[in-house]
Parts: sequence; C-alpha cells; structure tokens
Amino acid sequence: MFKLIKLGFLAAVFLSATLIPSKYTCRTGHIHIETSNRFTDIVADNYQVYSEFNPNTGDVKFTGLMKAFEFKMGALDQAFNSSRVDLSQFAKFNFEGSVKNFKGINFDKAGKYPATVDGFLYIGSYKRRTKANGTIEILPDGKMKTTANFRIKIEEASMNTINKLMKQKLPSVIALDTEKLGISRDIHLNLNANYRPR
Amino acid sequence: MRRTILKILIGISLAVLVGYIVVLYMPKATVKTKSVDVTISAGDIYADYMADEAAANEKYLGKVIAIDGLIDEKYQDENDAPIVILMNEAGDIVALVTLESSQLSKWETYNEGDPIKIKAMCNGMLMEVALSKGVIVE
Repeated sequence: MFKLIKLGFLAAVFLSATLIPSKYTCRTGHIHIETSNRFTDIVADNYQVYSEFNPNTGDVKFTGLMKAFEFKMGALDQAFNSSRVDLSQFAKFNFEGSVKNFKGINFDKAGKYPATVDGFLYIGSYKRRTKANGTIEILPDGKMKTTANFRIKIEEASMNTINKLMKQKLPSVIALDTEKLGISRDIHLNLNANYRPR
Repeated sequence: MRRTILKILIGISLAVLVGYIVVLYMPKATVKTKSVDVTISAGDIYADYMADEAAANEKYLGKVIAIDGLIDEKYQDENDAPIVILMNEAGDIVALVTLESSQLSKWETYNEGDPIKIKAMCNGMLMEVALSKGVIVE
C-alpha cells in the first residue's frame, strides 16, 4: 500500500514537471521607445523582437535588430532607413537577465502576476545593467503574455561619445551638440511579448 | 528698403514654416518606390547569414531585397501587420517578413505551403533572416 502511494506521488511530481514547458518563445515581440529633444518627442517601435523565457530557471532574453525600428516621425524614419545610416557595427541589441520572482508564478494555471526583471542590455560593445517591472499573464490556452517597463538613463560618458561623433560626422559650421539640441538622457522602453510554449 | 527687408523676412519665415510642416508630415520609409538591390531565394540569404553574419550584413543590411520562398506560417503581429514565415525546400524556417498593412487583402489570399515573392527591406538576422516593410510581388 505504501509503495502504491509512493509511486502515485512520484507519478504526480513527474507529470506536474512535464506539464510546464521547457521554454516559451516569441518571434514578434514589440518594443516601444520614447525620448525627447528640445524640438520634439521621439517615438519609435520595433515589432521584430525575438524572446525566450525559461520557466524552470526564470532566465529571459530578447534580441532585436536596430534596422527594424520604425520612427513615428516620417522624416526620421526615412533618414534612419536610408543607406547613409550604417548600422552594420550595431546591427543587434540583446538583453539577458532573469525574472526574479519566477518561483511564485503558477505556469499551469491562467492568471496575472507582477514580475521583476534584472539583467544586462548589450548594444554593440555597450553593456548596461538594467532593471524592469512588469507583468506575466498565463492565458487559458497555455500561452503567455508579458509586459515590462524599462527606464534607461544615458550616462554622461555616453553623451560625450555622442558629441564626439556629431563633431566628426557634421560639418564644422554646424556647431551642434546634445546640449544645444536638448537631447534627453532619459529613455522609456516598453516591451510587450506574446509567447508560445515549446 | 524697409519693405524689401520685411518681404525677405516674411519669405524666410514662410520657407521655414513650410519646411517644418513637410518634415513633420513626411510619410514613413517604404520600399514601394525603391528599386530592388538584390534578388535571392529565402534559403540562399539564410545560408549566407549562417555562413558569416558580419559579411552578410555588409551585403544585405538596409537593402531592398526581392525574396522568394514557401509560406510556413502566417499571422498578424501586435500592430496587426501581416507576417509571413518562409521556409526553404527542405522545410527549414529561414525568413520572417513583416508586410506593410496595405498588403493585408493580398496576404489573405495566400495559404500555408504556397510559394510567394516579396520585396522588403533586410533588417539582419534573428533566429531567421528578418525583413520588414514588405510588399507582395507575386
């Protein structure tokens, strides 16, 4: 009798472990970015973001392509998509991190949970520790929907690099820098992704 | 003399205003009016990216590509834009193409397994080659 109970318990543990998918993936996640300068707000969207989430470890990563950004302002969008903007050295951005409270999420049952994400954002050689708050929603069909809000402040050193680049690339008569343009150091980044279990 | 200066100032102000309005309401980038830089199959561009991503970026990134392949899957993204996932002859997933929303009615006539040719801008490599601003050629 005891053996039967033990076997039943082991079978239940095995089944519950196998019910949780080994990972969730999303091919067309959405990143929305907002920042501003003295003249206008700059809004851009990227609908080609690949993301993976491991519900057993809480590891999350997303990868996007710089050229996939679409700017709300047509003139900026046309300039960004012209051949004059060479992004071959910065073609991708990556985020690698983890959902800190993943153990409190029941992936077998539909429901909405708050989530805290912590990790590193990589753009070319640039690496930055980034945190975000968001939600994870388990849908009745087993799919997963997430949102995360990141606030990134560009460091003083990075603004100096941008100013150096502007000096190099712009004619000397146009004495512009980030301060004159009133470019904000604050970037608001919002990520929405619909995952499928794999 | 004063009148001439006034006229010049009004002229400059008008030009600046028109320029500002043009910049503000300029349409977004599209491949519709651009000529094709490279014609290639979805399988071949994927093979190029798998062989050497940096070299493939030099060759294809930001370029207008006429790409053909077989439809593995189609769905609409968060922006309701039509998506086409392309596979090669062996059935491997090789490209992800986001079409312009104006292509929706044309896109609806295609089924999974159908061959398709699309003109789109190459954004680089994710899990497969990613292209956007696509318009269906045939």
